[in-house]
Amino acid sequence: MATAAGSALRPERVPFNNGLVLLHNRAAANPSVVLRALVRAGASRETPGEHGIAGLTGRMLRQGTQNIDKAALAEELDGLGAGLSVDVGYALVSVSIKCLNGDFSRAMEILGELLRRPIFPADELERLRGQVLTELKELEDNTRVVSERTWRELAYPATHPYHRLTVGNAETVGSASREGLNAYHSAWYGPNQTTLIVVGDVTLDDATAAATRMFADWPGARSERVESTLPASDLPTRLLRDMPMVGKTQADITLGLPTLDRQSADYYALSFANHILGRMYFMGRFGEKVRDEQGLAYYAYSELHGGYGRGAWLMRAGVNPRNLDKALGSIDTEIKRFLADGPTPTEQEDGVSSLLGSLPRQLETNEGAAAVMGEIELYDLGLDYLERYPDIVRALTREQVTEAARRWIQPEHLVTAIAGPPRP
Amino acid sequence: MALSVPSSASFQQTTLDNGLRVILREVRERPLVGVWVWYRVGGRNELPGTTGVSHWVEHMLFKGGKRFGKGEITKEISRRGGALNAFTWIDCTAYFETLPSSEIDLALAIESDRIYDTRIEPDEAEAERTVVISEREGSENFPEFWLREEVQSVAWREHPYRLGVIGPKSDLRAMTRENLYDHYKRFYMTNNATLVMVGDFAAPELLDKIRAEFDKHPPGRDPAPLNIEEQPQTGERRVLVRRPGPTHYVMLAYHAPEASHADAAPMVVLSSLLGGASSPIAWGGARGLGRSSRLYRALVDGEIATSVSASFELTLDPYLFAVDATLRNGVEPARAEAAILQELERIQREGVPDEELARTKRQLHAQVVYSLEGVTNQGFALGFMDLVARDPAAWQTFPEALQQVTAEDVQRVAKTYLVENQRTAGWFIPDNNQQVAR
Repeated sequence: MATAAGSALRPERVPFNNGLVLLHNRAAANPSVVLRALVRAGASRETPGEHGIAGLTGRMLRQGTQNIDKAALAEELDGLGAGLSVDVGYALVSVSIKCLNGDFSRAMEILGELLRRPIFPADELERLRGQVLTELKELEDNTRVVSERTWRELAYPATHPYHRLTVGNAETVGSASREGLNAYHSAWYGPNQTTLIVVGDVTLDDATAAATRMFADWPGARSERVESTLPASDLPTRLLRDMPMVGKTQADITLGLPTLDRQSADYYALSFANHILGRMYFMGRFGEKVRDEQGLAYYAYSELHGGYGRGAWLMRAGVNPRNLDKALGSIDTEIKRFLADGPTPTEQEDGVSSLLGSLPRQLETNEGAAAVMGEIELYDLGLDYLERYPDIVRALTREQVTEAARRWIQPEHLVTAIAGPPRP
Repeated sequence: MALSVPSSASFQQTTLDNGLRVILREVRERPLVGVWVWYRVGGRNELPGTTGVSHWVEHMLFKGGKRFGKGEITKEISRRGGALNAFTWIDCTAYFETLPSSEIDLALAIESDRIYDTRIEPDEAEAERTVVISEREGSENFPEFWLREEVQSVAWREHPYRLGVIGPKSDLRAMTRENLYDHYKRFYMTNNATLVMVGDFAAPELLDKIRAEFDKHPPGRDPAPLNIEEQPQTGERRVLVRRPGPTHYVMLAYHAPEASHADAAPMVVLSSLLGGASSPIAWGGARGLGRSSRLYRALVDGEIATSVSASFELTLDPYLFAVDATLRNGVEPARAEAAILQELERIQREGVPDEELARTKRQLHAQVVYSLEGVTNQGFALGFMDLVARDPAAWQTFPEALQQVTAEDVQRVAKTYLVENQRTAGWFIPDNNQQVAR
């Protein structure tokens, strides 16, 4: 199986004295570069009452810094043809710039300016607040989002960050202050909480020099690790909740339970089980039964969120409300069947070959490589991870995969949330 | 800096005796190959009563033929680490596989089977009916879908572009297996398709393999050309959509030229200048560009909208230039519409400063470069531009044409196309007390 190109990615790791880690990989196929700062300043850091502040702080980074105002930044980025995006998750704020290779040095300067010297102008915060409040209403009109939000509220205790979506709510977003954003930024944005990824058409020397110029004298932030701040959570009791919504034609199902973290010994076996259940071929067994055989849904798949703490295993489907019971029954049957028998020998074999064969494809783009590099650093997988990965996957047995599924996907703890039209 | 697309060594093309056009581009950086087959059939080739038939047929082409049974196409590709999918649009239906280059024979066998030997079993067609309806219902959950469908349906009187791609539920409920099979036999043939392959192969040897797989298929009768000419619009058209929803949405659409028209490049520059650039020739590109664009400044910075976009898509026949805005809570659509029109009129009246034009072209150049990352995207660009611009070199010549656009060109096309008589204005009004039929 073609794994040669997969193992070609072995990033260089450059640790800085202040705790910053630079990961670099040269790829010259496209004359562009992705710069990505992964700052452990996501919503998991929020205290009660400040939900959404991680998102507001992240989105305000580009609204003005000590040396460049919002309009000048927008003009400069557009003039370079450089895309800047900020994504706020539970553990991480990911600040990415994609630029042409010749603009790399300037892009690194901009990235440094955004991370280190935002000033959170009061008028810009008000503007963003109004925007987010409208976006929150849009999210509450989205069946997928409402089903996931409801699922989270039922599956995780209120003290856990995964209990809620990362966007916050109208009350907390409405009351967030400039001082609060400043304090949040001072607390969590620092080199000791940041992994800097550079992948694309730039040399290690140039990447290191540019990162040194911008970040070597960046003072440290608070030092707590994300995983140490996550509260313990008991497994929920099995239940199902309907969230009727006006004016919708399709119902979205979110079904699942909290499982394990990325560094768990069972991670690869459970991930493999998920691959068979909800991904391989075309959306796995769920896709085959619920979509292909029964025609109940356009999408029916599952995903494993292996991050810090008990990540979710989620099964998702969009179905007509008339078919809900049939679809839920079918999903239940597939889960039970898998827990009883595990993967077939063919599925086991195909699972290995599909995962290993898809590596070159995943690593074909700079974004794809950056995603894997981030995972390597965040979860201490080792720089030789991609070289070891084929052996990890090949070593999995059907028994291990079945056992992991039984251990972590326990039907008595499955929570189901459905958002859509009232049931007929 | 010279502005040209990367790896300018481009492609080879040939046409088999049965009319199958073949475009090959060697890219040897990774052991991968991207395989695309483009069929010249889509929403454009449909009639009321069977609207959505192209898209439904696309679904059926994963369900087996002579050499691959139900589900086998997906399984064979997946177990080799490949990815596959397909999409249907107004002008075309396209299928792709991206897989290790050692598995090239499999992709050729699948596409050869698909072009001629798909069965479309009655029970499979029936099972897929609810899947397609489910796909539509997923879109119906979004207010923007209803607004866009309504605007499209009145922007044309004659042209099938008014019917869209997915089809109304009434057609999806009524269509028969025979409708699907007839459509398949009418449009799926070597002389209505283009095979595009990009990746790690030697073109001469690959061409031998292609001939071995495809030469056996006889050509069909060429599909009749579309002889529908849209009558000129003579006044603004307006539509309102009242449904439950979270906020107001505004869409302004104008009739715009086709991809092969000389004004297409200035229109791309105009839309980028107004709403930020994306690659006109392929998927992908960078996110987060365009915050210095005129509409972003006026509507988002101006606290009227939470998002705004301008789009001009490359199409076979004249299509639409459109501005879409999601309004902030409490903002009335009339105010947003006036703000959009003010920006359009400003370009018509004052033209565009050189510095802003240069910034916009640079964005376009960068987005084209980003969008050509990887063999799948390059295959898309080659096939898509060949189809809509009717020229396989257009994936390179069109980006070059963008860089030649002048400020005068931009002002001229703004004056020519963005005029009231060519406009369809649509407002989505949230009405959360209204009962809507399912």
